[in-house]
Amino acid sequence: MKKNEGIFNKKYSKAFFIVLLLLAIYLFPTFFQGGYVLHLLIVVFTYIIIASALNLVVGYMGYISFGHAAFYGIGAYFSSLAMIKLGISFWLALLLSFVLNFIVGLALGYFPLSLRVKGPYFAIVTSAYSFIVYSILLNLDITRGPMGLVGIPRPDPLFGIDFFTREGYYYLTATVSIICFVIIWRFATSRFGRALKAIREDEDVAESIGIKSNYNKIMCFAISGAFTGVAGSLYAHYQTILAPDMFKIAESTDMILMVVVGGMGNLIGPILGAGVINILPEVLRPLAEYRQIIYSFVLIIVMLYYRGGIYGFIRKMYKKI
Amino acid sequence: MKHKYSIFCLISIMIIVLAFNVTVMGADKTIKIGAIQPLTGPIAFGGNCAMNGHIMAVDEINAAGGLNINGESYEVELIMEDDKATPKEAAAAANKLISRDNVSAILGTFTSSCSLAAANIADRSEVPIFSPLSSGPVLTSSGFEYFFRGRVTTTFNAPIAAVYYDSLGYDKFALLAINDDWGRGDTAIFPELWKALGNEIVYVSHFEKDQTDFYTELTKIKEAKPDAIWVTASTEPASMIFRQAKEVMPEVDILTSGGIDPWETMRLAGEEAMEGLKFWSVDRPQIPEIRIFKHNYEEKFESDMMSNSLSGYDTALILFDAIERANSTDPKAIRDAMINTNYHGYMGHYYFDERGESFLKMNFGEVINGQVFIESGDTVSQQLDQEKIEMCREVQEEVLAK
Amino acid sequence: MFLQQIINGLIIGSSYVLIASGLTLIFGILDVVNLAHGEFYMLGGLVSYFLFTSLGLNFWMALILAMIIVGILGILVEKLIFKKIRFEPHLISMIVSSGLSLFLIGAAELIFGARPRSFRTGMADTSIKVLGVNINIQRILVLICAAILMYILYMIIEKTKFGKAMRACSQDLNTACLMGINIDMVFSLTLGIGCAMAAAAGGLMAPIFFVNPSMGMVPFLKAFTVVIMGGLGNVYGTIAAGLMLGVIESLGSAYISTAYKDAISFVILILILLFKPTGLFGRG
Repeated sequence: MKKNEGIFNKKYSKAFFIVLLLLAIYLFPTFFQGGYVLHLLIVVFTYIIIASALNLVVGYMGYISFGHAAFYGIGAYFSSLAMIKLGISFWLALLLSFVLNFIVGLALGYFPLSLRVKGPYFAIVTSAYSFIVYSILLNLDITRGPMGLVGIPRPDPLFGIDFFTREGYYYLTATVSIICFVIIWRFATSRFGRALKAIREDEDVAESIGIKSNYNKIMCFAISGAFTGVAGSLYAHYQTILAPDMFKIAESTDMILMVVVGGMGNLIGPILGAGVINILPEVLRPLAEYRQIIYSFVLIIVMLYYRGGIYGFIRKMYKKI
Repeated sequence: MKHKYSIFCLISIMIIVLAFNVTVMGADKTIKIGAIQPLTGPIAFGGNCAMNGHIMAVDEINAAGGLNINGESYEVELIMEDDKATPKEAAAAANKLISRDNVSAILGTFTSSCSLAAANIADRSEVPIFSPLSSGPVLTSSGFEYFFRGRVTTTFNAPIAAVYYDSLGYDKFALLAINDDWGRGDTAIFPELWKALGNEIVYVSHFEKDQTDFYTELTKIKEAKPDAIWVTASTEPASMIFRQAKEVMPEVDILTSGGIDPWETMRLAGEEAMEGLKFWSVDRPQIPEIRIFKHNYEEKFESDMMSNSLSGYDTALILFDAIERANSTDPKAIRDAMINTNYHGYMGHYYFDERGESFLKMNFGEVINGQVFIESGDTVSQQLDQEKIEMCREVQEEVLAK
Repeated sequence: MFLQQIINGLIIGSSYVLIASGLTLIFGILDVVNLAHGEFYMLGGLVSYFLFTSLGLNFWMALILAMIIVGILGILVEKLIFKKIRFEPHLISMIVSSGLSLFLIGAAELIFGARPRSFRTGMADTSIKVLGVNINIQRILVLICAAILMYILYMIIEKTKFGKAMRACSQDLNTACLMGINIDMVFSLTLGIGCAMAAAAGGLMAPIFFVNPSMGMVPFLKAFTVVIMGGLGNVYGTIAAGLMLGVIESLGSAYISTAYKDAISFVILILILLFKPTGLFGRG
């Protein structure tokens, strides 16, 4: 088959494929009336944002961050409290959540990254961040700690869509998710993304060719954190309830799993990872007490044989067929 | 070679999963009831006890011909889900039960944050959810119309407990409570009540959930020289606290607030550490009916039971009673019938207010010579100074109003 | 009370040292971040418990046997799992060991059950008073055994031929290979030793707390913190960091706040890493 004749090599077929995908996403609730499946999709879309954002740090930049649960938690509590106590609109709360988490990312990333804290050391420092934020959320009065926050509001209707219904919130989540994904995609395929990859390969060499590694690293971490915070806000307003134990270090571990098991350093991997890590446990529900063993076994097998994660697996399959 | 092997593994797993997913066709008329408990994870034993209680009730009812709805016999199908004590899982389980399985009601769950997540969803979908074990105050103060619980909060019975322990002669109290809504509730209320009764509070502190080492807190408590320590902890941390306290200050009495299963705690802490422990508990005096239940349970499940099993059993039967009174499988009708519950179960007399709050009485127990003795809360409270109890209720209302 | 808190701290610290030493050894020689290490601790506790209660072995026999069993399991894990991802980036070994951790916890729940069990040896409930300070017998045993095991480890590393091979591998793997050292054997045995150390910690600590499949999670986080603080791969650094962390936690929770106790240790960790990005005694 000549190179130019493959289906994906025609210019308009890529656009066709994207339109098809968008149609599928938006028409889904009309044809399929399952609350459970919509719930899972909302969760998956939320995590697509996080996995894609984390991928910038882990896959592109090559730093292992267990700290994203901190951004997730800060985003969730901040926008909820901002709407409840200050009465601001949902959209403003979402925007402010992005900005706040960006600043937090700058602050948290500044010292470890500029001091070249790497690998497992960086992993533990970021775990510490997750833990400290969890402690703060648990002990502050304003978050009501273990009592939890209830009655978190949903946005007011827009364009005639009622966000108090699951379908409405699905459209919202899907849209925000797509927008975030596109922005991250643009970052990843730009000079910034290439700079990150250079830093991942060899920081000193990157510096020597004029890449300001500290600036890029801290920016990357902050942007990644900002998007994760937005995802946290999205999720908080979906659940309408919050409790600190939704934001422990285990959450960060799940996020890393999504990125690595899905496939790092490319844009499709995190989407697959977000899907698999959230849907697989649900699919395995009938296995009852064997759920954890089968789930972890699958994880180990995938990682042992497919370093490129599920994306790597699919590419290998595609080449063979 | 490796490649093929791993594909084979993954495919065989997929097939196994699909096999499990095939549902068996039920009898002619069934009513589906969902049940969510932590069946795996650190608190799985307690969760399984409650679930087994549900199973026992379901099997009994089905053996007796099922539920009588509108003159027809309905078999009860219990659909069990595991929430792993994680709110995210509890929410997914609730969603699945409601949307996929179309259950008429849900029994569950255990921890307050999981119940909160599940209740949130059930309430929106207008499906009644009945927790056999959650006692967090937030569940009945969030405006849920479809939530009910079969365990009582500290609040309702606190004045009686406060007056009782005051009457035993203690003057200086130290409090050590778990850092969650239950523990925070205790440390908000009990100090005020005891102070109102003329006692001194010498120390108040919280500990984190997974903590196993309490020497720091106990050392500090020792310095404060209390007569009694009020411990708000569930079975596992409590057993650690008792053991360590016996080492650090064996002469100080320990009182514990309704979170322990005394027999399980004794198994974990040992008889010496439990000696002299006074506890406030949902557990009841071991009347013959409970002993018979215990015997049947142990035979059926080949496992020990806890009071969770009794709560699980009671709550299932209460739900079935409501279904029969509603004469319908419609969730809304069941909920309305639940409000009018007036049921005497193993754990006491159940009735609810519009918030779904329960009003079980708690009892008072003591461990003497390795034996657990429990006295009924009603008996004890009748012997107490009723004026003091009234005063405590007023103080409590002030505290809660803040 | 100050002295009591320090003693408490040293005792807790010694248990951290025992778990952390295996972890740092594994990293130093295999270059693997073993996130499942806490589960080997747990298996040590579980196996000791069962040998003690079901087979009626005495505590020390049960402990040593458990160490051997878990050590062998460690060797198997190396050959079946870690060997396949040898020389891969740390992230891969983190993910695989994460999966292994979930697997071991799930398996332990299925086989042993989730219900916590109390490991009654009689030693955990008696304490003696020395210089006005209360010391629990079992805890002192942990301190003493930790010291003995660390000494044995020291002897293995510094004085035996195998230890020489281990040190060679951690310094320069290629040259070690060229010198004819059997890398496979060194790697497998090292993981075995590391896991055996963790199992020892589990078996020693089990009578103080209780035994259940999740018992390794919190100790693991502490051990990992200690390893990072002391510098990955540096066993002596681990000892210092472990004792330090124990004392800091004890004093911190006594004099600052019990609520933020763990957070305080993490803050100290972050500060240490900011001044020395590879840990107190870590290599550059």
